[in-house]
Amino acid sequence: MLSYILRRALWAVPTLLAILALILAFLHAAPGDPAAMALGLGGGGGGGEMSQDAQDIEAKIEEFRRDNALDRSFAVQYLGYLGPLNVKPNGHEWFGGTGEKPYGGLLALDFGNELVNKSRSIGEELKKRLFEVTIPLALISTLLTYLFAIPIGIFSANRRGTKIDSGTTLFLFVLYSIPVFWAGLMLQIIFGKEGLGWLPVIGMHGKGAEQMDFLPWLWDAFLHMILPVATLTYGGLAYISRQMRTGMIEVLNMDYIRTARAKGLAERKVILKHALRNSLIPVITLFASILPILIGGSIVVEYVFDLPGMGEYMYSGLLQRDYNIIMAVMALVSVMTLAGILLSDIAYALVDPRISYS
Amino acid sequence: MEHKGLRRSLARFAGLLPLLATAAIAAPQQGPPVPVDEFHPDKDTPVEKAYGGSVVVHLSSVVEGLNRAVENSAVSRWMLYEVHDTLVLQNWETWEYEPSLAEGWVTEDQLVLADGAEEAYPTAQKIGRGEKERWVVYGVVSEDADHYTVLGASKDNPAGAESIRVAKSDVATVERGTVFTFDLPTNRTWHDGHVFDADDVYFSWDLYRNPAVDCDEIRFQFEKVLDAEVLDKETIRFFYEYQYFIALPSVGEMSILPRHLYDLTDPDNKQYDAAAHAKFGADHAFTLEERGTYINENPHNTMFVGLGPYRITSWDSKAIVAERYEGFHSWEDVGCYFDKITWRIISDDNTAFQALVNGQLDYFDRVKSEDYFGERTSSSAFTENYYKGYMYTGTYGYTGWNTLRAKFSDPLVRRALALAFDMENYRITTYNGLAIRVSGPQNYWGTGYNHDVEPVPYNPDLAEELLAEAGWYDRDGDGWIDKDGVKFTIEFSYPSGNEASKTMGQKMQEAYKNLGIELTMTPYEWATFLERMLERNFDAVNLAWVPPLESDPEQLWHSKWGAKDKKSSNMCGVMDPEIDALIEAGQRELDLEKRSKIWQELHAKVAELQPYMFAMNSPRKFAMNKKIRGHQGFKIAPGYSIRRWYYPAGTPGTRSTPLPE
Repeated sequence: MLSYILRRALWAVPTLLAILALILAFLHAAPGDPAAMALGLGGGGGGGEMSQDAQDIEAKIEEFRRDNALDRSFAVQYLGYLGPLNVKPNGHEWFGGTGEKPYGGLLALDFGNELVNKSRSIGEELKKRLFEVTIPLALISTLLTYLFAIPIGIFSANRRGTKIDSGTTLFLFVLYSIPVFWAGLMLQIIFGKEGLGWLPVIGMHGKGAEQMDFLPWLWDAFLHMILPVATLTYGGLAYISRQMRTGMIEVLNMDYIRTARAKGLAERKVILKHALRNSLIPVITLFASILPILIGGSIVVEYVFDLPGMGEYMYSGLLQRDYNIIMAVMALVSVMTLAGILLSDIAYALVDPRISYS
Repeated sequence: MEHKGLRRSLARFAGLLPLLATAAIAAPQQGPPVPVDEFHPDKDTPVEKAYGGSVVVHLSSVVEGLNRAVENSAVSRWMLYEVHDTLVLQNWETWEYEPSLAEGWVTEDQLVLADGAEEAYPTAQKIGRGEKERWVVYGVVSEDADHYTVLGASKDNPAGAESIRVAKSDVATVERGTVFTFDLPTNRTWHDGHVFDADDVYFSWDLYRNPAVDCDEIRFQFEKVLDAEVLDKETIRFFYEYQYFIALPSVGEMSILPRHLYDLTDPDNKQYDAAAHAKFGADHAFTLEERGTYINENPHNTMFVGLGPYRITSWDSKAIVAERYEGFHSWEDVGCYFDKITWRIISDDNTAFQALVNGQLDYFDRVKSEDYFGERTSSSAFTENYYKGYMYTGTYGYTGWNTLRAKFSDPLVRRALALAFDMENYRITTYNGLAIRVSGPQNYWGTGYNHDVEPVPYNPDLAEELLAEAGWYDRDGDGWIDKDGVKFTIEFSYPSGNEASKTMGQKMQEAYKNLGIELTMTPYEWATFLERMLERNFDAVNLAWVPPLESDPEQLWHSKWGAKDKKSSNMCGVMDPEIDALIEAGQRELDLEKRSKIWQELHAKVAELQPYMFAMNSPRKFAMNKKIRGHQGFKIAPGYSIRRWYYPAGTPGTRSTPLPE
């Protein structure tokens, strides 16, 4: 098992390198100039309004590219992102730099700074956003997804072919089809002041939260989390519950279940003791891969609910063509995905004794 | 209007009074009176102003910091109005430049001496460095047939109060209004209690000469300032390179940084940042690179220490908080009624509107037209707590034609395209008539706008005639006009998500179809849009400019920025010698009245060439908490001044004095 894990971990390295090369290639192929965006030539607009500051745009763009090694070849830029050698003008002498800051990049555990705000460390920002917003949101959402999806899947499988099963299936398919963006906006309108007025609809906290005592503060945070968590959860819930239903139906058709029923065991015992463990196998393998998906999905949720998480960071990086942010976030998501797949395989072996990697 | 320092200088040189060139007293009052609470439902009920409480104001874009050397966004400037101060400031109502941090200033002229002439003039002073080094005599300059007469008007001017005569043959150029001597206050402290003085101002200018400081966006502005000298703790002098109509605001509105927090070589810095000095060692000689990096990455770029009535107390990517600075030197005539201002950053306007109606914003100024005139702002959820209004800044929309492409190179064609579109109807249907049509490129409210030039009228018959005259008509009977075997098509590009642009494109599509022109619409995500525009890879772009009341038109219209291989704001490729001459004349003209005439001529000339189909000066529509009073709509961006807002007396949590007793 250990050698299998090591082998898989080693394979993950070239996979990660290939993923990062592909991402950088896509960034280069995509229209949009990071220099023009970082220099604020659109006046920070985006809505089509631009300021009229007189300036020599061309010279500034060239200078910006030079300073950030964006004028270097694709290969050199790629090496720069990987590290450990810094390829910028202040970087390693091997790349013509001054040697002032010779090391940088992922291998030097240095995500660098943002292109737009050069004083902001991407690593620090990611840490803050991940631990304060994105991971709590993703964990709560995952927990709720499984908490509701498994019983719904079992319930549905147990009543296969009935009207209640058809109704549940239809409802869950409708739920699965609703775009996250639209759902978020609808929830805001329904539960916010424009509708029922029951819940806060924006941000992590309300006005004046910084002066609250701990318990009121926690309650405020809880209320603010309800709609984003609901928005992030419903799609996964629909999907996992369907997987659970399929897995359970498959198991319920197996001979050993028939035997168990023939022995006269109560249906509840048949399902919970004999069928459940095996039917969980596909659902558990999904568990590890759902985390990176949730973090990806949080882009929309964080944008709609204005939460300062990693998804929102990624989105603003994309809009700004901030290659440093995009590469850092994608590297993180790639690592999480690869680790997730590995964890899935391990979990698979743990829940199913028939599977052995030795 | 108080000009204490200026008065002091004037008294010192009373005899020179008629000759002094001082921008503030030369400029006539220009701005119209600005009504207070114009849209407030209870505007006719007088209320008493009270101090205290807080306000949450929406911002649509992320602010990276308040150090303007490294963060040049418009939003940071708006925030600095509350937390900082500049030497001079444009009065929002009269539009005059007035002393703000400075107590006053004296403006003088520069005689740049010819090579070798300096020896004849002992009071000549060497300024600048390298190629830009020059010998000058400065003061208030008058001239006769063969000589210039120079009278020193500012403190410690080497020319003195006695006149110096300089032979015209000894003078290379005369640069009027290019030497500014500012009197600084002695009673101002930074938010951390450190005393402000002229060294802070000098440092704030000098940093632009350090190539390691990330100030490329605005370095060019300060490269035109050849030199500066600190005369004493309360006086500083700047020498501008050449005669330039906005030289004063370039220098006077420079953002000043606290030297003790930003300059590693300042002896006081050691006590404020012992860690940095411990890292380098006691006798370390700091390089430019180290000094530059220290400025670029300084934590005070966000937790800014300024000189204004509010100080930053918290900063994150979603909200920035400023609280009343209790050590502010005087609360007289500054407004500043709130104890706390929060700028809440929400990039999506729909989300921001939700935040408003859910009580998380007090002010939001990006209300969409459909919401402003629709249900969302007339429902009780809105009207119970908020009211709406609008104000005009200089923003104007346009559709720019790529004149470097053959089909748009003929002014007849561009005029025909403007004639074929019923802009007036669009104005009424889309903006309910609130927007104002514009005919040219100047700020509608500024003195450079030429009100004699009428917007292009709707006349599709004339449009058809002009197109035929330009060689565009339907030769093959397929319903589309053509020339040299090519059908007339237009790709209308606009920023995705911009509903106003989309609506306009749809209307243009209908109008041009009747003329036999096929218009296709393509929305582009902003970064892509910007890149295509800078590369001139477009037929037509729909955009808006946000010009200040008066701006330098060079980047937009001068031919040196119009060539195909140039990346510039002159993306339509306008290259016209007459326009170039007008721009160059305007840049050197210091008299506002004469300069306004030049800009008006420029306006007329651009309108004649029609590189843009000029659209409208559309109002900025806002929603505001009804409890807050004192809103005024100004023509200077952002169009509002938080320090004038207040809660009426009697509102819980308010008081009658600026500071709690």
